[in-house]
Amino acid sequence: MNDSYQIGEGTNFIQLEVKVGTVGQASTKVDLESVGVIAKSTTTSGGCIPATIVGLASDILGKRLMIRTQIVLPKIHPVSIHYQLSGGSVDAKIKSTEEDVVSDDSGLNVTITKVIQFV
Amino acid sequence: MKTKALITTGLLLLSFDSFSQEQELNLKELEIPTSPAFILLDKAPTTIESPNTGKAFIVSAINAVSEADGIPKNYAVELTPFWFFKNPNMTAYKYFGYNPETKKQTIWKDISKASFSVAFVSEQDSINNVNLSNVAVGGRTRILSTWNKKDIADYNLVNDSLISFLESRDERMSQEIPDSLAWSNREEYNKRVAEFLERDAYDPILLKLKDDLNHILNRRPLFAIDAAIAYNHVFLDNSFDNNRFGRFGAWLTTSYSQVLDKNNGNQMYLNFYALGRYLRDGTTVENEQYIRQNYFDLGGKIEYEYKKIAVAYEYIYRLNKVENTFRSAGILKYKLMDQLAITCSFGKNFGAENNLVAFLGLNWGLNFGSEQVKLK
Repeated sequence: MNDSYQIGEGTNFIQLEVKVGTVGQASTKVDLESVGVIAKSTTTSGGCIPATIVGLASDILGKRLMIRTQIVLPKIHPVSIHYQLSGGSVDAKIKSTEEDVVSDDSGLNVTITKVIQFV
Repeated sequence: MKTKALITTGLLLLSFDSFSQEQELNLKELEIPTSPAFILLDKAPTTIESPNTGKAFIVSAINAVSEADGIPKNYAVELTPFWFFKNPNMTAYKYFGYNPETKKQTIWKDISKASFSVAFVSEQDSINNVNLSNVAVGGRTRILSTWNKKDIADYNLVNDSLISFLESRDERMSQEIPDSLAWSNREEYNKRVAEFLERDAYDPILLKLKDDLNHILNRRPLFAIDAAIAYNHVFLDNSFDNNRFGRFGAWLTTSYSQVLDKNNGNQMYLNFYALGRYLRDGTTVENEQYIRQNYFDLGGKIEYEYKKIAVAYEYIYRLNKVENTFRSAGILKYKLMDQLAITCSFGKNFGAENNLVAFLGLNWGLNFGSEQVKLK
């Protein structure tokens, strides 16, 4: 089930911040439906993305945001990830759920996909 | 019979290895668990252990093959909580101990990886000749450590390559699995992502990078200070009410490791250690009574390490009010194969009587522990 974020139809800018907590190498990419890649993590950021403007509320209303994080772990260790959204009706902190996390049999190669719909 | 028991014990412990590694384990990975609880009870082949950061969960056992048909009866369990809890502020660089923005090392990085241990050791009481059950609890942590400049340069290189690989993985994933599937049919999307990851995990480039990364993370730090504390209580004749104080100890170990083959994979080291230890001992018998004494141990160890072999000499001087004494011993460790190594030590132990150190043991190096069987 996709998460949603209430943004309204105003001229306010919607911002996203991705916080990843892991001992492994991580890379995150943010895709906005029908726009493409709007943000990427750097080689030293550990998969985190600082607060980034997604777009004007009126422009992105009804669109989906897909945030995908790829991780390689040196050892089994639980990964912490959450998404901070602001600029809408209220600020929201969305956490990853079990459904978002997929790994290989070893548990060392992990993909976390979060889909957020702007409503 | 002894050989059979030895092999059976080894196989039983090997079967616990749920996190089997693909790459060859080095000697550092194979070191027998050095839980402070075991060290306090003098069950380690060396008094100055090569400090190591804790593994998630270690079960270890020590016993003479000549006793109980080689089935260990002395056990220790060591747990490192760090590996079981989420850390929202952790990154790969913080885990390694380097800040790429400031280009400075984070020398306190391992404090959060403190481990805690419990040991159970059975012995005979020297006064009453009844069964003694030693229970010891301990904790240890690495206070600080620093890397060589080359370790940091190598880590940066591998980190960048791994991030590039992950970016490429994401692109390949997008080409193979439509992004829209993530919201239209999540079950199907997750199934296809899992299949993709399963295949991608065996990509030779990834395997090489992971191997390189593990080798860097397993290198010895240039300099490290480790702290440990342990307490031991003794229960007599299997009675909970019949108990007495055993030992208490707190010690600091500093280590300096000089790489001798910087351009050839960091497999040859010359290690120097210094130990400072306070012991409150309640195991000495005087007039058929156990008395309590304070010991202060000061010592050092020099160790040459090359791939599968480590040769060391340690000397520890013990100060106390009654008599000053010392321990002087040579130690040899040799890795026979992955997950199996041999350790032996020979020399003089503390005190004037019963002071021969003669130890030969096999180590099963497991990812979450190792097993040692003492051969007499």
